Amino acid sequence: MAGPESGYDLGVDLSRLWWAGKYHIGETVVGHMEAAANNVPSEAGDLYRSGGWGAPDGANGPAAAIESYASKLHTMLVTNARNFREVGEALVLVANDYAATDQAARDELNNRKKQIQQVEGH
Amino acid sequence: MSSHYDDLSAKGQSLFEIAKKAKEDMYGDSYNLETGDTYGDVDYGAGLEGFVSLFSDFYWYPDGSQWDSKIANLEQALYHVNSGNFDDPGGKIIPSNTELTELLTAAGFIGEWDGVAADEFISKHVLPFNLRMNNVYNAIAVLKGGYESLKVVWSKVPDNLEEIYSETKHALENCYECNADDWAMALKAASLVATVAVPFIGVAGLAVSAGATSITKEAVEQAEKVHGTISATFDAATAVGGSKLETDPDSEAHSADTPEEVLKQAEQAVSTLTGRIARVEQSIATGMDAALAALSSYGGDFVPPRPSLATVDTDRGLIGRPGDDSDGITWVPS
Repeated sequence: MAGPESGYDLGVDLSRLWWAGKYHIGETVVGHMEAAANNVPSEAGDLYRSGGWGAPDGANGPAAAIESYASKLHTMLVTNARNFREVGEALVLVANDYAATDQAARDELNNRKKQIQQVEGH
Repeated sequence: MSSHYDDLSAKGQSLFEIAKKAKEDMYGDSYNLETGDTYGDVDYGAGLEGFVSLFSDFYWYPDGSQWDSKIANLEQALYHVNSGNFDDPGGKIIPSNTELTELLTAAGFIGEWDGVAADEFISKHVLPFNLRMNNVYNAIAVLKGGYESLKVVWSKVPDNLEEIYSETKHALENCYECNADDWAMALKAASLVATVAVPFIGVAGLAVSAGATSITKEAVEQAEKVHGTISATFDAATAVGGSKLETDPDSEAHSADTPEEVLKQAEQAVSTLTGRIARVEQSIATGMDAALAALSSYGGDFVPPRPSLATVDTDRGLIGRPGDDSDGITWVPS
């Protein structure tokens, strides 16, 4: 694909990159990953029963196995959110960094940022 | 966990009193051939003390309802990562989270760029996105399945204990008049639910053509190959832990014609119940351990790589841009 033919065109391209990084990934995807992580309970629940019987850990049954897995699952979701956040930040950074190389591109990017923020509501 | 001590110890004491009465009815007018005494001179409760503590293994036990909020929360978690129309392995329909597909919108924006960085973004994030989310979804579903299994098992315990009590009481009240074969205590075990073990899909082998915004036929074929390899890990867990909603139709038939024999069978019924619960718990633990191993061993199938922006600040000439094949963002494993 041919590159942008003007600073204005570059600004348009960069605004899309910025939009994707800041909103589509940075807020939406990250937001849902964080929400998912927050909905994973870390406690297995009180599995104690009298008599000392149960498996695999006697009176506490499978509590330890469940908590180990839940902890790993929570960490995985948090890491997912962090990595997606960094992906979004990377795209925003690239857009801003590129815009700095051309005045017309920077002007058009800033112009479109305002429009995008209006569309997104903030 | 809640205490059932008052109720169950009272039931045990009640059975003990009924058993003593039954023994008295059976032997009260007869003589002990060894001592010459009438049984009216002896303690009819001797040998029947086990009734008092019959339910001691269940004086304290978990309430099945305690997992309701956790299950509801996990259902919400499933929604948040549901980028497709995935069903809950338990059968419930989880609505698709259409906002998640905004990543694909982002990919469309970036499709204007054809540098190495853009291709890498598509390859490492966009194409594997749905497959990765499928794996994350299933990883959450495993935990939810474990909690649902616990809920089912422990929710059945009060009914099973009540049944053991009532059937034992019935046997003691009637054993004087009936023969061994006339009475049978059928212990209906709780419906057993094994933990849900689900396969996940490998994304490491996904192929990508430059600028592609959808998974190619070759990519799918490659993913299926990886899928087959990785899912074997879960298959092993499935073989151990089971993978289906399992109803155990077995019932334990007991018979007895003396209070002592009734006690022995009642204790066996309690033992059968604890054994079955323990069996389900072991299957849950086995499933969780297998899923934990999968998350640990195949992290890249669940988590996207992190971007490395080391080159951005130092050398703009290396940053990908429209029409530029150079690389500006590199992607590193988590």
